Amino acid sequence: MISGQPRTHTQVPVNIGTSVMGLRYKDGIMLAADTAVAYGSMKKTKHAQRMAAISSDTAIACSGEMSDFQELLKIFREKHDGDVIENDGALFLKPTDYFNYLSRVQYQRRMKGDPLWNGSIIGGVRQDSGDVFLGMVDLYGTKVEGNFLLTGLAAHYCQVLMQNSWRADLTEAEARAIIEDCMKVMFYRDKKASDEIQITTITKDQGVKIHDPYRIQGEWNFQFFHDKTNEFWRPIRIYNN
Amino acid sequence: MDLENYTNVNIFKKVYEKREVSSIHNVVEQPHHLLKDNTQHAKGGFNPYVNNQGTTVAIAGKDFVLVAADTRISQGFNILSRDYSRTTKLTDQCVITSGGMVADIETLHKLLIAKVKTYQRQFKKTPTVESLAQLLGNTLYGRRFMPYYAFNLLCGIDQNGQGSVYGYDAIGSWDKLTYGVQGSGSELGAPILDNQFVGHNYLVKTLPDDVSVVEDTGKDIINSIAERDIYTGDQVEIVIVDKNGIRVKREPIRRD
Repeated sequence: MISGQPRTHTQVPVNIGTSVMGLRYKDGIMLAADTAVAYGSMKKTKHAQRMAAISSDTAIACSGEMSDFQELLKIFREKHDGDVIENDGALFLKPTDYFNYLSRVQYQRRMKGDPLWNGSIIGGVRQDSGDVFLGMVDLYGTKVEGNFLLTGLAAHYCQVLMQNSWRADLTEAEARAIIEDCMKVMFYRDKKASDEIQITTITKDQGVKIHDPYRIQGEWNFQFFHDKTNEFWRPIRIYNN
Repeated sequence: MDLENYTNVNIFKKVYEKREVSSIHNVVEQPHHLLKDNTQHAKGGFNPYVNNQGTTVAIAGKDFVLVAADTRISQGFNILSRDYSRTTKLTDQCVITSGGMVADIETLHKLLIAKVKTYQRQFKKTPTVESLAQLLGNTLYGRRFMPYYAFNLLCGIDQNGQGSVYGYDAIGSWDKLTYGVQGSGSELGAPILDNQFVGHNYLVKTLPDDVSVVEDTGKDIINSIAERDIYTGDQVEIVIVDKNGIRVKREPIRRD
């Protein structure tokens, strides 16, 4: 802390979770993230959970600084508890309310020059009306809504995959297949991504369901990996056979 | 003359000027690649501003005012959204439309709506466009030392029933215009507007009277900007303000 200056926390992210994704499907929302947390180029933790339920019908998945993600969860928990207490157990705050609240929190912190360094995707399905919501907030407080949302490197690598395969009437299995496809691409291309992924679904019937993390199967049995690379002489391979 | 530097230009002049010299010993003892640079340089750090780009055009008519804006918001070379509305209704006779940073724009628009409501409760009448023009100027200048990264056009029907457009910069310097353009395509849009409408630098300002002609021109301008500006595209949102109120319509344009 520099004396005489206001207190700031994250000026540069340290423990970084890589991209998260979210998409709408027939029954509701699917959020996905891998479970790796990177510290520079080192994978500090390979089994971290980067998503959480905010209320019975709303969930959040975060990329970026993981300590700020935990701070966000604390802020949301206080908001949710206040809601429960004020309404004697009935829930007044809806997914869109949490989304707008998050955007204001992020904007306030940006104004202080002390941002919560996260890209967050919030998804929710209202229990009463069945309205489906999917939104994204960044560290400036920018709000974006969409049918499928991607943060970080996934916005570069998976945008087209999502655009080509997304439909409004995706089943859960199809949505999961798309997510796994995208996660596979991220694992191949993003050095900070891992092949252990976790999915949260939010539906009208079942509410928020955070599934157990599991490993996606990548293809590694290429001849390229069997060949020794540090031989003195190496045959020239032509890739477009 | 130094023979090694035969061009006779001192290429190390800048380095010598910038170096930190606390005592004469520093100059002698330290090799000058180790001397500290006096100029401030941000190491990492957080930049609270981001430009989400986008273009908006407003044209005042005899008894109407028309806003044509695109609906794309970007972050870097990524498109964040293809259907963002950058125009907000303030009163029945006034809208604000902005380019720049989305988070700041939304905050500013929300703040203005709140200020309009406060005004209505306090004075039991709706603020005029002239009042709102001054209010917006003061609001922006109030944040002189951490400005709203928003470039605004305030558009409405004035007390004489004429259309009017007010143009602003981010820190609240403003002027009454007959037409204006803001955002990433402003450099491309301004000369087209100057060519199609009379107003800027003319003593006699003739306002157009046919709303459908102005609407077509507005759409054409946004479409032409979308042709050359990568940050403009997806949809054109037309907002028409006249004595009957506010109408909004959208049309798709190029999405690449």
